[in-house]
Amino acid sequence: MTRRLRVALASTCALVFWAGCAPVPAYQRGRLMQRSMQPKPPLDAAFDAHVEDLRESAIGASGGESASCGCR
Amino acid sequence: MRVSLTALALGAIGTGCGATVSHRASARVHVYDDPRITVVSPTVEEQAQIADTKVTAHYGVDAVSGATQALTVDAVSSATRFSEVRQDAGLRAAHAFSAETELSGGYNLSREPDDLVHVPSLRLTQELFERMVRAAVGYQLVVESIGRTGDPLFREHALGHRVDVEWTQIATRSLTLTVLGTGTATECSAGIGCFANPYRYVGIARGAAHIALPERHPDQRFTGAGALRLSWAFAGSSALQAGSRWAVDSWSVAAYTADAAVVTELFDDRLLARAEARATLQSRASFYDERYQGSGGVLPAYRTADAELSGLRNARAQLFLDWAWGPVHIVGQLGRMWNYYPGFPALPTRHAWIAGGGLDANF
Repeated sequence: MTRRLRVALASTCALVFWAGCAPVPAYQRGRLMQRSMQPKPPLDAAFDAHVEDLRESAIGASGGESASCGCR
Repeated sequence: MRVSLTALALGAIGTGCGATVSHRASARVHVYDDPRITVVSPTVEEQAQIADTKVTAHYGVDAVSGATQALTVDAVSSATRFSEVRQDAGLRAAHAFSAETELSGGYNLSREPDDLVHVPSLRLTQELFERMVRAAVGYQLVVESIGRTGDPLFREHALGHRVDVEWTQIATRSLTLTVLGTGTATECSAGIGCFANPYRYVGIARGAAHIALPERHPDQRFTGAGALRLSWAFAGSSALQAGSRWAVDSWSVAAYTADAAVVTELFDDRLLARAEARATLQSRASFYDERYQGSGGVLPAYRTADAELSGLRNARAQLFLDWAWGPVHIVGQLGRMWNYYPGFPALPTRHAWIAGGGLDANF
C-alpha cells in the first residue's frame, strides 16, 4: 500500500469518526432532505451504470442508493 | 403490461389488508448512440409501499442495432450488421423491521438470444448512532449461461459472487460522506474464460503468416473497488455531489474515476437541473497485446480483442432536468461521452451521445 493511499484512508477514517462525535439533531437535517441532495432517479442511474459497465472494466463502488442522503 | 398487473395486484393486496398503499410508477426511454451501435432502451418500473414493505418491479428492453468490425477465422476484418434484443426484468421486496433496520431481497433476470443471467440478491441496511450513520451490506449471486447463435454445441457458464458495503455518515447539517466498497469473484468455463466474446477472433502473427483464434480470457477474475463520495448542500437550494473511485482486478486492470454534479432547484423548486461530469483512467489487462505473436508451436494462452481491456481514457458530460408538476415528474437528459483507446489501433476513439426522457408519477 502506498504512503499516499494510507494517508487518504487515515484521513477518511478520521473525518468519519470526527463527524460521528458531533450529532446533528433531526430538526437540523432539512437541507439534507432537499431535492438537490437526492441521488438521480433509479431508472436514470441504472442506465448510466449500464453504459459504464459496457465501456469500462471497473466494477462497483459507483454510488449507493443512499449515497447522497444518509437519512430516510 | 406485466408491471401494471403487478401494480394492480400489489394495490389490491394492500387495500384488502386495510394497509396504506402508495405507488410510484416510472417510464423511460434511453438512447445510446455511437458510430458503431445504437441502443434504444425503454423501461418501466412500479414501486408499491404497503405498510412497512416496499415492492419494486421493473421490466426493460435494450434494442441494439449497428455494425461491428469482426476479425473472422480467415483473419480478414469485416463489418457485420446485426440487431438483437436484450430483456431485463426484476422484482425486489424491502421490509423495514424498525425505523433503523431494513432487509431486502431481489431477483433479476436478463435474457438475450445467446445469454441468460440470473441474479438473486440480499441487502441489509442499518441506521446507527442516532441515525447519523446508514450502513449497508449487500450480496449478489450471478449465474450466467452463454451460448453462440447457430452453434448449439457451444455452451459456457459463469458463476459470480459480489459483496457491496456502504457507510453513509451525516457530517454536518449540510454535508454527508459515503464510503463504498465492492468485491467480486467470478469463475468461468475454461473454453473462452470470463467476459470473453464468443463471436470475436484475435489475429496472431506466426512468422510471415497470420492466423485467427477465438478470443480467450482467464477463467477467474477477482475485482476490488473503493470510493469516497460527498454531498454538500450550499447556496440555498443547490448541492454538489462528487466522488472518487479506485478499482483493481486480478488481470492487472487498475482504474481511477472522478465525478461531480452540481444540482440546483429553480422556479420555486419545480425544476431540478443537474449538470454532471465524469472521467475515468484505466490501465490495460496483463494479457492484452496490440500484436500477439506465436512462435514455434506456442500460441498465447490468453488473447483478447476487447478494446475495454486495452487501456481507456473516458470522459462524460451530461445535463439532467426534472420538472415537478404536482405528483408527476417529467425528466429528460442529454449527454456526450468521449472514449479513447490509445493502445487499440483498430478503434482509437469511440464517442457517443446519450439521451433519455420519461415520467415519474406518485399516487
